[in-house]
Order: sequence, then structure tokens, then C-alpha cells
Amino acid sequence: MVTEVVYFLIAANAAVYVVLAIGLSRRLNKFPRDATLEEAFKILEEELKKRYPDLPEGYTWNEVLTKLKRSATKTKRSDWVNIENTLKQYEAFRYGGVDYKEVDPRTVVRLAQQLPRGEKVVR
Amino acid sequence: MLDDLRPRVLSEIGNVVVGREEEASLLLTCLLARGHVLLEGVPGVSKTLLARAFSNCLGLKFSRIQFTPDMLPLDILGGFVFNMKTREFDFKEGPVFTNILLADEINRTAPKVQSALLEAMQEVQVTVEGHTSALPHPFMVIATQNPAEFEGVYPLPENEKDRFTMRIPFGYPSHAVEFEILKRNLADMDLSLVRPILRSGELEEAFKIVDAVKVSDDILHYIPRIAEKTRSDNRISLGASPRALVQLLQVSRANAALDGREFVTPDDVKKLAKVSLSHRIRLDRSAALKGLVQGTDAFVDQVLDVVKPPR
Repeated sequence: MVTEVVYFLIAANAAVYVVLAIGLSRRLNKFPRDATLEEAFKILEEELKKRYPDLPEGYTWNEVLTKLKRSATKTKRSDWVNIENTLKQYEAFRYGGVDYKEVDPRTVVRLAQQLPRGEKVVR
Repeated sequence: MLDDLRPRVLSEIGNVVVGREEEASLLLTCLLARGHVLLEGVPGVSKTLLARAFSNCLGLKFSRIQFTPDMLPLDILGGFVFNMKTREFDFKEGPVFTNILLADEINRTAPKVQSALLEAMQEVQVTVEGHTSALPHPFMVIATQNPAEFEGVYPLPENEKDRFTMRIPFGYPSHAVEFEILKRNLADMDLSLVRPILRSGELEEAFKIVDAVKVSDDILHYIPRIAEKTRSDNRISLGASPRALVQLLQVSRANAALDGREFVTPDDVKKLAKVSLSHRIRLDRSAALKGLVQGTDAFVDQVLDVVKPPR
């Protein structure tokens, strides 16, 4: 009887770890470290949709990032400088057809990860 | 690049006009977009002063017409006068032959005279008795009207309103601005304090830069989506015209150039959509009476909230 309980506990423990590992793996895959510039903004857009269902569909990147700057307090000031520079390059690429060089979109992905939960974007 | 032009213009105009930076910036944007402006506000809020200062600052030729009910189209366009020496009729140019034409209180004159400006605004030329003359370049009409007046006025017809690239509302200034106005008026203030700031050929160069601003296909799809939304809403009886879209695109390009960019972003379009579209949209009367819509400005804001820009 004791042996069965021990086996059961080991199996349950293993199952918990498997679930945790799957969750962690999904989270890591959801926010890839080597995302391209376009992928980074796509990730941010998807996260915004999930976190702020009330956000009007007509927002632009400049508008939403200005609002987030006020509410996403976890993001460092140096990261904001990087995010704003990245946005400039993204806009030049997206609307001006200018190729981007030496751009680091990781801060944009990190912002998507750090979006405040349970808050509404200040309108 | 034009990114230093706006601060220079605003700084120079600021020598005389206080607290109208946003309006002055819109005037400059509209000029570079080859558009025309309708300034709307009660008397005494520095509409005329801003127009004059703007013209002085750019070193452009300026004319002012005070519109009255007894005016005739010839008073604006000019007409044929008999020349005793040559025994022929010569065309005498009217005040419309200028760079900046201030049409003061445009809604005080009859529709026939208001319509005299249509050809000038659209085609930058005037035709009198079959004689067509080109207007100087650049040519911009800055019209003013008081929206609160109902007696002795002739509201602008829709086709005339549609010619105005922008309508800029002039509200009352803030307390701080009024304090500054009073303070400055104690000394002798005159328009000679606004000096021309442009180098020779700089304005022509600016027009070329605006014309070279790129517009992606996504933006070209975004602007008509905004217009479609204004037309399909049952609270609206008249939506944005195709001419409105062309002008919105052009002012967006001018804004991008003034911001030092070579391409238009959705922010340019959104920033200028309200001043470019709201005066051309007519609310459905029953919807307005039922309070379903709070005015055309609020309506354009609602449209911009729901139309997804390219991201």
C-alpha cells in the first residue's frame, strides 16, 4: 500500500513537472528571443489585444506606446529609448520601404511580456 | 529636409501672435499641401492677425477682401477696363491675384460671390468673360467666418466647403495667453516685427520635398476606409468626398515632410483627419436631434477609433 502511494506521488510529481515544462516551453516559444522587427511588433499587437480588449481598433503604434509609457512601469527608461528608436526604424521600413540595420527588437518583445495585467490603457 | 521650417515659422509668428502655435502650424501644413483654409471663430480671436503674420513671415504677397452683402464677383476677380490710349479693353487684375488671399467673413457675401472663388481655389486660375489668367504660385485662400452668426449671413454651400482643405476652429485663448496678449498690447506691437524668414527659392524647394514624400499602398487603403466609414453611417447624411481624401493625403505628406520624414505614417493621417474632414460631413438632422451624434468633430474621432490603421 505504501509503495503504491509512493509510486502515485512520484507519478503525480512528474506530471506536475511535465505540465510546468510544457508551460515554460510554450511561454519561451511565444516570445522568441530572436524575433525579427516585424515579428516583434506582431507579438506586441497580439498581446495588446489580449490584455486590453477595450483598446480601440484604430490605435497607432505611437499612440499606444505613449500610453504604455505611462502605465507599463516595469519597463526601464533605457528600454523605452530603445523601443522608440526601434519604432522609428520599423515605421521607416513599414511605410517608407527603408531597410533596417542594426535594430534590436528584443525590447519590444520584452515590453509585450511585461504588459501590465488587469489594467486598462489610459485613454 | 524641412524639419527646421516649422519651428522657424512658429518662432517668427510668435513675435506678434500669442498662443496660436497649433493653428499656425496647420496653416503652414496647408500651404505646403497647396490647400486652402477656413478659419472659424468668434470675432477678436486673432484670426486675421495670424493670417497676416503668416504671410509676412513667408515673404508672400498678401491681399485682404472684407466680404459684404453688396459685393460683386468683379470686386474679387477683376475685370476689363477701357484703355483710352490703346482704345482697347485691358484686364485689370482683382485682389485675388496674390499669394495669400484673406477672405474675411466669407459668409457675409452672397453665394454668387462666394462661388467666384471656386475656380481660383480649385484650378489656381480665374476666367472673366472668356479671358483666363493664371494666379501666382503659391496661391492660398484663408477665409474666416463666425459660426455663431445667423443673421445677414449666407452659409457656405457644400461644394464651396469641400474646396477648403482644412477648417481650423479658433477657440478662446487660455488665461495665461490672454494675460500675455494684454501685456504685449501695452507696448507698440505691429506686424513689422514679423520678418520674412525664407531664403530665396526655399519655398519652392519645400514644395518639391513634399511632393517627394512616399505613401505606401497600406496608407492609400487606410484613407478610403476612413471615408467609407463616414458614408456608411446612418447618423450622417453626407460623408467625405473623394476630393477630401486627396486633400487629406496631401496634408499628411506635408506634415510628414515638416516632421523630417520621407514617408507618411498613420499618425499623419489621424492628426489631420479631423480638420480635413469634419467640415465636409453633414449630420443627419434626426440623429443630431436625438443626440445620437455630438457633432462632426466627435464623429470623426469615433471613425478614427474604429478604422484599423496599417500597423
